[in-house]
Amino acid sequence: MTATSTDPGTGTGAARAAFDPRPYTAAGHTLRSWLTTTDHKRVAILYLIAITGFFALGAVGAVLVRLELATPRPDLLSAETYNRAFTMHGIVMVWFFLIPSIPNVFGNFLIPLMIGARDLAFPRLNLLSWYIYVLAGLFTIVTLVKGGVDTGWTFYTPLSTQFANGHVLLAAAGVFTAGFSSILTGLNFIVTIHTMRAPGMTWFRLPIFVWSHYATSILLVLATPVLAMALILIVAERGFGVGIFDPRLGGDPLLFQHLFWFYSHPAVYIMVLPAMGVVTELISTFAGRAVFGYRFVAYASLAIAALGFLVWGHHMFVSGQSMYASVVFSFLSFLVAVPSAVKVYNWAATLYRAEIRFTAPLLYGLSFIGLFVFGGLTGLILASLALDVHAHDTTFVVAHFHYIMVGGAVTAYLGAMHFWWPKITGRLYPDALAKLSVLLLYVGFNLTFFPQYILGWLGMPRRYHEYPAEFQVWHLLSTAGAGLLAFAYLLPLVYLPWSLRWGQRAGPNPWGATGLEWRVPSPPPTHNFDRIPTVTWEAYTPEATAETKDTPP
Amino acid sequence: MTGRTGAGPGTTASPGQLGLWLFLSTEVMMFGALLLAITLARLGRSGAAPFDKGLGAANTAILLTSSLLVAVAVERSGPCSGPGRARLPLVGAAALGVAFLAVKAVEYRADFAKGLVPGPDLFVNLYYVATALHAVHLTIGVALLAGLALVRPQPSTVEAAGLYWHFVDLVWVFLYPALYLVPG
Ligand SMILES: [Cu+2]
Repeated sequence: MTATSTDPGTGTGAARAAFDPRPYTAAGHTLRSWLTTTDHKRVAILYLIAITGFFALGAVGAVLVRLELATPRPDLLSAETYNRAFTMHGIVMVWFFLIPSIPNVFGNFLIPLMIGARDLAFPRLNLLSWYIYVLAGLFTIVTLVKGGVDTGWTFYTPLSTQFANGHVLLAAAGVFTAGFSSILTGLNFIVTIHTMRAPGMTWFRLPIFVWSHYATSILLVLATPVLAMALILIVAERGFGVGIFDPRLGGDPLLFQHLFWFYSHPAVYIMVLPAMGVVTELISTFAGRAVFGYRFVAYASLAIAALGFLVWGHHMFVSGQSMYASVVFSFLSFLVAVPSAVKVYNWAATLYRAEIRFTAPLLYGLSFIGLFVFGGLTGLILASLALDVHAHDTTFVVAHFHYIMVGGAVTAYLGAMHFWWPKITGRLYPDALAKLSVLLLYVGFNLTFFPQYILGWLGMPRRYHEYPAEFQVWHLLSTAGAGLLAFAYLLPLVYLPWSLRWGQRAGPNPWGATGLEWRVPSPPPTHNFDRIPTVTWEAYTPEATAETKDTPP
Repeated sequence: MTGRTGAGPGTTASPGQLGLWLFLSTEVMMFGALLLAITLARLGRSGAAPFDKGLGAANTAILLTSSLLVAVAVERSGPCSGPGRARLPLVGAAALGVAFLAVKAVEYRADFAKGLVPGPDLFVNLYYVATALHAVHLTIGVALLAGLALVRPQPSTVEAAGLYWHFVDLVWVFLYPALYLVPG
């Protein structure tokens, strides 16, 4: 019997008779068919397109910032415009690219395929969350371009409620609305993973990618509402004059920081946990082995999610919060390193003495590990009470979180793109070009952000658009690196679309991977599985793959 | 066709129920953040809470009674009950919701008359934010229950709306002591 045998109780005759073997991409070619689709794969494509657009807009802000900082004098942008540029960069990249990136594109596309389901639990809700995301995003962009917001992505009070010029209220409303999209996605994923797994797909047979998304979804559902409350309170103060954060109105400015970071620290894990899930799949596939210490890696996701709720105070060491609170937050922040290191060591152990195939996706995965480890280690410096006082609000912090969020999350996003592209589109891309873009990314990224560690340590504050002349050499290196990095991000935008037409056709499983998604044709049919598979093997079992590899799709 | 196989090992809750509970957990976190802020503001001020305990207690009684009626409606919408038997308790609960809002309006007026307006006292400011946000949730609940009384709803729909109503009630059960009772 093949691995995809059907449980007689589940693959109903009616469903099989209605099964359409054509790929999901052929289900309709009109714009209308895409904008009204509830197929999780098509919604994923909608997200992919929208997210790529927002990434480009966020990048514009970054380019302006880096160009301005190439010289010590403020010559390109005024102080006001500079503030608006980095605020736009931060808001767009965090809420409209990073948070939805891997979950909404790859989670959406892959979770039902990986667990042996035909769609998410709530397909229409899934489409709704895309509409909310896009409308909130466009609204926010218009706000940022027309009125401008100069508070930084953190909306700190009393700056945001008293002094900021621009449409703080509207921008906050846009981010607030986008939060509903996050919550609906998280809710959809949790319910799907609980109720839609194929027969025999037990929790410990799930790919680590699914575990990571489960942990991420918990954060989306439980942390996002706290941000919502923080934004509601800003609206209450700025819109209705009810003092919450402004001391002159009886408010407490620190309260905002507590609420904001209660969300925004877990938000970092919303960005990084899916990335870790992606990297685990890459490593296991190209090492040709099951993940070393599967259960530890799975539980580490949940541990990171849980600890993530308890460390927000490490952003507030110099805010005047209680010293004893700071000590506790510092200690708990160090603890997060433990499950993170568990993952890194398990990846290393999976690779140890394996017959590694150095494909482009794996190189993205290895780049992730290098950059993530470096970002994580500098995070320990910032989690130390005394050292943070020195580095706080400098570009050292900027470098640290870019290593995690760009070096980590964006690199993994591109790794996922290169790994599942043949599944999503049915085409292969030119491997050499992909490898070139990884190389450019790794060099360009380090050149951009490593100098910022040095600058920060020397005392360069973040969010300043002029600086002493002796800092210029580091700033120039950083700007040059940003150019390289931009090229590394643009290259896939050329050869991936090129491959849609001219790329070699990919079979169902070009990488010899083990997940259920590789047991259906590429691109998958609209309803994913002709027969719902019955899973009888453990996760990452290659024998089962060998059985189905012979069977043509 | 959603392709649901129902074979998720060891899972009993329906997707709809699970989704609703997750939605409510989102709401819990949102109001939780607000309650935390209220608690902090309470710790930072001296003197008893200035709000009218009597009206607050009356509103607590009103909401608890409405929750009882909602529970009765859920019971009566089951398959063993005749059609339309859930209508009366639904209407009653929605009416009690309106009564709550009316009492709240009277209370706001009295507060304003006493000079308890948004001003230099964070605790008072948060009182307005919390009660207003709760009133918004309650208004949605009233609309839901009234809407269900007009149609002949599925038992699961009544249960879902009921769950939401109980949640809004529960938020008040936490807000009432935090805002009115805790001594300074
Ligand atoms: Cu943090």
